Amino acid sequence: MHGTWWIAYVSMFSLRNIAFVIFGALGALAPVSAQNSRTAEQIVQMRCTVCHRVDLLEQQRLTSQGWEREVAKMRGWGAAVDDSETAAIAAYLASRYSPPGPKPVRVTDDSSAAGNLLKMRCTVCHGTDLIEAQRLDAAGWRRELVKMTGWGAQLSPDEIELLIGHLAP
Amino acid sequence: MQLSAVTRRRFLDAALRAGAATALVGVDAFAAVAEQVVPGPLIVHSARPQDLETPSELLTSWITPNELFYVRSHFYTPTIREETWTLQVDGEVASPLMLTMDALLRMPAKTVPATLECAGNGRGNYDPPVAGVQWRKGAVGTARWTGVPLADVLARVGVKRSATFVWLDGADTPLGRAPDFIRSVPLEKALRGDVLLVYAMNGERLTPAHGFPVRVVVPGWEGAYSVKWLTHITVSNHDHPGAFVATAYRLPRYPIAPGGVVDPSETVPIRGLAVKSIITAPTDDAVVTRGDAVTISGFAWSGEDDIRSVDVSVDSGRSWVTARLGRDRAPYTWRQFSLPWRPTEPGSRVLLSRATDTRGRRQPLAADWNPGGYAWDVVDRIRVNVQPA
Repeated sequence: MHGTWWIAYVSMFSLRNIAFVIFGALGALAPVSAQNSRTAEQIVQMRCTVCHRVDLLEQQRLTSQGWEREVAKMRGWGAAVDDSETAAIAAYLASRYSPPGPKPVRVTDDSSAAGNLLKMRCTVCHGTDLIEAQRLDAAGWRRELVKMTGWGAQLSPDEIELLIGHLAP
Repeated sequence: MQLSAVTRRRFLDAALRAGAATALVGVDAFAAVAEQVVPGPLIVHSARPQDLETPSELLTSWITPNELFYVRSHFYTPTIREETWTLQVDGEVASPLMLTMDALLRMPAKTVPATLECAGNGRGNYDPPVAGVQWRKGAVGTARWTGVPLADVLARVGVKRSATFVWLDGADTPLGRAPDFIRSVPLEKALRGDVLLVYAMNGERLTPAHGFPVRVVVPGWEGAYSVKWLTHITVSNHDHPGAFVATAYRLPRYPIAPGGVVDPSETVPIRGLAVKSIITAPTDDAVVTRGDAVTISGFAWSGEDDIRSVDVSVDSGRSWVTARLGRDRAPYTWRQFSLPWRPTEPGSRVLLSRATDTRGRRQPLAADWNPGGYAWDVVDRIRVNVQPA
């Protein structure tokens, strides 16, 4: 995967280095207040696509740590991203382009509506430990929640949808 | 079981919030709240119902000490007094029978060592993930089980010619509207003299978590056949239609694409156990020093069959060396294996173990995915980081 990144990057770099110098420099000169009000997505669109397109980001599967390293490397290569933007961009990219597979869920200290619902209805029979140990996608959670309502869990159809959206966002 | 007023009230609050469904949960749920206080060195996958795994590095002896033995419970541990416990035996029999504990203890007993493994051991490795307890390696252990052969009890009641299955039910009550945990053993297996109605484990009375006062042990078959808290044996002329027989503990007839679903009619029940090995030492991600004398060890088992050999690789499977098998052995039990290793180069190494049984079955290199996440039997692997001396 990293090999692909390098090849793609190097080949595009030679084609786009002129644009990189011009727009990258412009990005670096933008006022700080304006940068802070931008979303991570906007920053990525603005700074990263100076040299390459989003397709190069979309095929990556990196952890938060992996994305932090990549962003740091790109800054070293001239990406006009400042310290305050680095963490936001890395977190944004990690949330979208991360290793495959469902992410573990947190229930115990989750005070959202769905979190409270899980704690109220599901823990009548079993602990939150069993919920947090699962690594299911939306279809898997739907099967489980339907099974559990069959087994007596008090969940309305709307509540099931709320929980699926929360457990497998 | 004694519960504090606070614990009891907390349970009642939860019960009231849940409404009608909880009414079905019953009194046993109070005992289950107390289960939250457990388990020494065991990994708690679920505190209630109790699902506890042995950390694999603590599996060091051929016999697993009782306090380290994994626990798998579908529902809460029932509180049973052996003075009032009875075992009902009925169905396709000439003369139904009700046994008390005293009556069972008066029958000739037998001790059978056997390895029990949960059908879901290793479920946590499946990709895509499968719902259920996310067992790693340690839902397996070996004990000496003492009890009365089921065949002797069946001989007393007189099994009719029409009989084909023996249904086993315990005192645990399903939560909410969940189906009762009933399992079904084909008569042929049930009549083998080594299927026991067990009351002692490694010479000690069963603990509640392990099925006090009486559990079944079906040697060589996945753990769910070994029903705990046994209270009712029904001899039947057909397989049990309940969810834990007709839907769960089954594998697709043919491997299916990962993530798919399969109709129960296209599945077969899990019987026996696959040939399998696990490396228990060094631990995964252990750090050793170049030149150290390291012993790679673990266990291998194959249900009703014996282990012929275990091969170990210290170079990601490029080459294999046959490990030494431990002296302790018995039908239905695992064998220990060990291989001395003195790493000569630094670096992060992948160590593998692969067992072959006496029927010639070998562990696969890749997993066939199944929707229940059962029967994980792939060549085991750990990583060992060798640092320069």
